[in-house]
Amino acid sequence: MTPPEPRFRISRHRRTAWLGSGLAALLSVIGLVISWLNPEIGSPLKPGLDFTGGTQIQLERQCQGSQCQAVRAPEIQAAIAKISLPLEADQRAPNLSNASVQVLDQGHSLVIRLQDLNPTQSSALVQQMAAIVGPLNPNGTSVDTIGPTLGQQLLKGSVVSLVVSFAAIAAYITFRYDGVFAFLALFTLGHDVLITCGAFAWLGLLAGVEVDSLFAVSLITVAGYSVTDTVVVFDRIREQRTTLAGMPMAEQVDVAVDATLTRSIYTSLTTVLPLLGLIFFGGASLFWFAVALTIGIAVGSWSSIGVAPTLLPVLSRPRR
Amino acid sequence: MQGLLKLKRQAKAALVQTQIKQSATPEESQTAEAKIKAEDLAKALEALGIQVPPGSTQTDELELLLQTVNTKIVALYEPSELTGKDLVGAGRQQQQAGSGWDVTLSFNREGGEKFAALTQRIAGTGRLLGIVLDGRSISEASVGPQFQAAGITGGAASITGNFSADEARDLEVQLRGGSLPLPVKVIEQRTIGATLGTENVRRSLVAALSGLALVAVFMVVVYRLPGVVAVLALALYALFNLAMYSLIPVTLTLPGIAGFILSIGMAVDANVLIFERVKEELRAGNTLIRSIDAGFSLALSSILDGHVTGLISCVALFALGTGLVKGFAVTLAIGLLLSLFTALTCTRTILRLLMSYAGLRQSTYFLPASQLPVKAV
Repeated sequence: MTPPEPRFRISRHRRTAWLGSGLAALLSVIGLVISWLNPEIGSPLKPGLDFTGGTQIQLERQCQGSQCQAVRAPEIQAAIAKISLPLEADQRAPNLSNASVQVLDQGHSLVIRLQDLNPTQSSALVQQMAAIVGPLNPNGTSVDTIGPTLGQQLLKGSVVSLVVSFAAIAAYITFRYDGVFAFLALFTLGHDVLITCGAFAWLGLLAGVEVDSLFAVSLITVAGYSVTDTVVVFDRIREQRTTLAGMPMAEQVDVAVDATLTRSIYTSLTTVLPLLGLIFFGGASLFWFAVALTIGIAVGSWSSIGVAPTLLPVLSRPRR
Repeated sequence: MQGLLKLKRQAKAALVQTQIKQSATPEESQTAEAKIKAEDLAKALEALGIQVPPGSTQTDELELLLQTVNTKIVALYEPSELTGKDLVGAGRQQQQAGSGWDVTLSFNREGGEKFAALTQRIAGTGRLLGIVLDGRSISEASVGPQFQAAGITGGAASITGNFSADEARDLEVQLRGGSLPLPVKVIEQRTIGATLGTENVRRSLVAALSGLALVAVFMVVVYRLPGVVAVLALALYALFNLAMYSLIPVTLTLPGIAGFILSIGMAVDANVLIFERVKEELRAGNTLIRSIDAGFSLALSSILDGHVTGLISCVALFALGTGLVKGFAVTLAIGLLLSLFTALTCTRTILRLLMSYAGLRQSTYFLPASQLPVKAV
């Protein structure tokens, strides 16, 4: 049986593919660096409350059960962003636009989380809240200082576990395929995660989007997806090695990519569909999470078609 | 006891006064009401058996006195079963009337019960409830007679002490620090699971489910009969997943949901891989039954590799990761194992069953006729 002539030859477009990926990666690095050098942000991605900790204020409205006038979190959030608080000497105005508002007990009480406020500021905020949501029950007001959900320790632990899991995956791929495949799988994984981070660095710079613990979770998900996606293409290349042994590596790659192309596109499409649902119709709290996953999965499926397979002939040339 | 407390209050007030004085005008230190006379101070120090190092100022002496009094007070308390372990949070709130602040405490369930029993016992008796940190008493409070019947129930309490905002904050921080076995800053249990409001969860769920419905439509349109089989198998898959979640108590946190989404993606992917393979075999001119068998066996290795790499990272993430990552690893691992199972057994069994009906054994149920090779005869 002669292999079917591939309808689509990825190797012919490999320079374009590399250029596109290289450009995207470069833009990502630039975004991360600009964000890092920016005195307002000071880190590669704009950290949210989950990373910095802050103040949590709980308010109880002076009404009972169903008598409470309906309040909506996004509206309260917008109102809080406009509040100005008393400042101490040479203190920068706290950024209230990132406050997270949660409505509890059918609007009976509210939980607001925002960046660290001093006691004067928090009581000023509580007073101004009365103007927004109506009279408050002073007994139900409490102000807490909250630590970061993702503290240094936790972050370090997660990073260590990720590195170990990548090493284990690399060992498995080396065992089932060979070292070059393992290297490329991790390389594309880095590519996908970098571009997802880069996109959020730019979003942080241009639109003030902050990364939270959900973003960290979406990065892990993207990493997992990226490896699987790449492995499927590699599996096809390995399977054809015996039947296509006479062909140059680039040809073999073309046949494999062509054969798995439909699957790659369909799979990303079916994964992205629920996410698009979340983006367009879901609640605000999962919006950026879904955006991060969509970007990561789109990039991951691109790199499994355009980056990993096209680099394979280049890296494995000496072994033919 | 009362004597010691009075001494503590005096010493504290005097200390504050002297400190203010020192920073402002050192000469005018005579007017303070709360000032302890030199001979009283000496008497108090002597009574407590404190050796004052020679050449120390009055401030030093006062500090020393305060420290000793704080330790002495502890010795007078009856030891309590309630410890910092039972305390889950501390906060501060402004008083209803007046400008002072109260400090609030909340206990876990066990602590709440202990606290209720404790407060019932001492309510209205004038006995004091002390908060002891590192062997020193940091605060004393009495329990009002109105709590005589049942004690302070509900696992929460507040200390009304006319604290200033900063004092309240200090006490809050001390309590919070003391409630953890180590003085760490990370407080994780506060935020997890509470970041999503109910309204938000419902909207997100509806959105994600409508997305999944679209996926089902897509599968049926693209893969025809096997698409229907895949939707059935995936429904079973979701059912198995839910069953596992109730067997193994998994709290569905957001990372957990992310793990679930990824595993659904992989479960769909497994079906896509198989059916694409079946289609390929059909296009190559193989018979239907042979194509189906070949499709399953050829897709096996890539499905296996994808799932095994996923499981490997789950093991590493679960063994080494913390809270956030662990939840993700658990749901993803459950999802991967189940997806491997459903794709290789459920999809296959249902498809085989359907193929036993001659009426369904038609290649055009799998592939548009235009893509089938022209029969050579």
